[in-house]
Amino acid sequence: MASFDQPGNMNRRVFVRGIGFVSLGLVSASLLGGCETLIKQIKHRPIRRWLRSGSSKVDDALAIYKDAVAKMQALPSSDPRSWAAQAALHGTVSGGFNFCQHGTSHFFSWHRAYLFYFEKICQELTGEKSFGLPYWNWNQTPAMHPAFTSAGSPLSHPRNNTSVAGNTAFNDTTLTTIFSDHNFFTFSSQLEGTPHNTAHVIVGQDMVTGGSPLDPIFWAHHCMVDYGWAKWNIELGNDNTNDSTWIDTSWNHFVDGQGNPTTITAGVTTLMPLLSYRYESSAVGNFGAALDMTALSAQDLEKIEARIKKGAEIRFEIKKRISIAKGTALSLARPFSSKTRVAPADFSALLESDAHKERILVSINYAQLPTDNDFFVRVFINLPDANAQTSTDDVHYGGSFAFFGTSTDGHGEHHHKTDFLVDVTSSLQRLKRNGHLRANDALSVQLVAVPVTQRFIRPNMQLMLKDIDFLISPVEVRSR
Amino acid sequence: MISIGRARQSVSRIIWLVMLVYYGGTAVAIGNSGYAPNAVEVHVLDLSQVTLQQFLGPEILAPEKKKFVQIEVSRVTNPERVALSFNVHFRPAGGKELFLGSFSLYPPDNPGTFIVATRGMLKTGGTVSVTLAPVQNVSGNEKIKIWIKPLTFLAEQ
Repeated sequence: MASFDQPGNMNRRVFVRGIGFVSLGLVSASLLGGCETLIKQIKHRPIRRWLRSGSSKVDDALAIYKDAVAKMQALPSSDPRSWAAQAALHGTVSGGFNFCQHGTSHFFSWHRAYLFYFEKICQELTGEKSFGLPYWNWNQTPAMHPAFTSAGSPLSHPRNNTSVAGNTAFNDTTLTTIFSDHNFFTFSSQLEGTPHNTAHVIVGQDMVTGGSPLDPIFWAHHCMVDYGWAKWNIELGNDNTNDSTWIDTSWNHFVDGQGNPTTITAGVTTLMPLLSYRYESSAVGNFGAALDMTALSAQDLEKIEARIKKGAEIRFEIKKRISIAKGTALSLARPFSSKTRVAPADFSALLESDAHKERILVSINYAQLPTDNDFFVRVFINLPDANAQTSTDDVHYGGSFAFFGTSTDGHGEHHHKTDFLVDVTSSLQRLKRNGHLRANDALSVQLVAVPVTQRFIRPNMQLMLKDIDFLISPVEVRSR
Repeated sequence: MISIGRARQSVSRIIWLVMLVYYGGTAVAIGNSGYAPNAVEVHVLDLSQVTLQQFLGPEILAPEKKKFVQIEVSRVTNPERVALSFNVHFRPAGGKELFLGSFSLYPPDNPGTFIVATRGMLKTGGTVSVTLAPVQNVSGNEKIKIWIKPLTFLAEQ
């Protein structure tokens, strides 16, 4: 089994045969013969090329990709490396998403890990260890490469459109604006919502569903998304988050080239474009191919690695914590409601002004996570009658959170956070503007479990909560 | 035998009682039917009403410093799974409409929260609009409905 890292310590690495993922610092400090092999592997790591006509190197990569797709499609569906099994990690045509991360801060990292292991499977099945997934730069070449559209090609697939030309989501103005954002979270959100989502819906058919990886263009499309992240981070010098919760989030539903289960953390994915593969650079918007990542020296790589590991200085300082409840239980069948000693007057400055940097959050800390994740939890303010039928359009609605992948049905160990934060600043401001809050009335908080489908799997389940608090915190991001 | 005067008094009292029960009961009924519905202004878009507009009043402080328009699509009805994009514009008071950006729903019936950069263009007195733009041809009979919460504006994060 290939295991990359222990959570919380990005400096430890495990050498994995055929993967070659090690810390450059370790490698450059050692003079042993084994490490020379590692240096060689890193130096000659696969190149992911920009899809375009007229390049023999791109044609070579496409020939291998066609072979890999055919071989994966020929595997029995019981093989976790099969085309269908790999697609199912993401989702299904009729069933929606499975493990993939969308609309979350792990949109980039989860898909990077997904592509990485898919590439390893392609390398293994074709015997081409130097194969790098090519990427569809929809800004520079809005029409799909002919290899994806030619009749009889293993890369062709039913689609509504094979070009995104003329759509504003991919033009220079839009992408220059997006790539000018220095904040990791908002950059990710923009790239996902605008060109990423729009490409999915324009191509259509399977690409518009959770089963989109069934279309071979999916992998080239997401390779472009991944290149976008790498370009923003490495070429343009922006910093990822260094939030330890984000870094330590791990997944164990991927398999390596031999079909063995693996574990990987989000933090490790940030180093992949330096150590595991490299991108042939291309322009995106007004940002040209500034840095040839295929020709970086060991010293250059070390400097970039150190910068990436350090991440952006993001501080989440809790200025005030006000307890709402401790050691209580949330029953799925009966919503939780707790009156606090907090009044809107305690937050008056924040509620009066949009310009305040501080936010008011409800922090919910579970003693342990539920075994089923067939529900999510909605947070309401000052609505003691809130229940599963209460609409999210209700002015008292604050937000919601869900438990992802906590069920233990053979997927192995997960590392999941037990504390959740819901930003209720806007909700409180809205309640105040609509006259639903009076200055000295105590606030109450409600937690309502809502089944994802019609009913709970275990309606009598109780969730033990450690703490529920109001937090006031500024979230400062010091970035370039 | 009841005198006419007392009869009139009785009738008056009866009328008074009926009015009391009627209006008093009505008042109780209003009280018992709960509060007036929580009137959150939610925009609803469909193929006949494709654009929402939101005025930027003085309550939005320093709009030129707001870096993003945040669009929270809270609910989607799209049984035919028509591919949907949305275009976001800003029109300053008395000025020309400026394109800010776009986003799409993926999958096409999946709500979510989206941000579009303002590039410093927002000004008090202007109007932000969000327009539903199906990516594919539609007949007009598709049962598309999109619920969007009031737009919010994010400052530098």
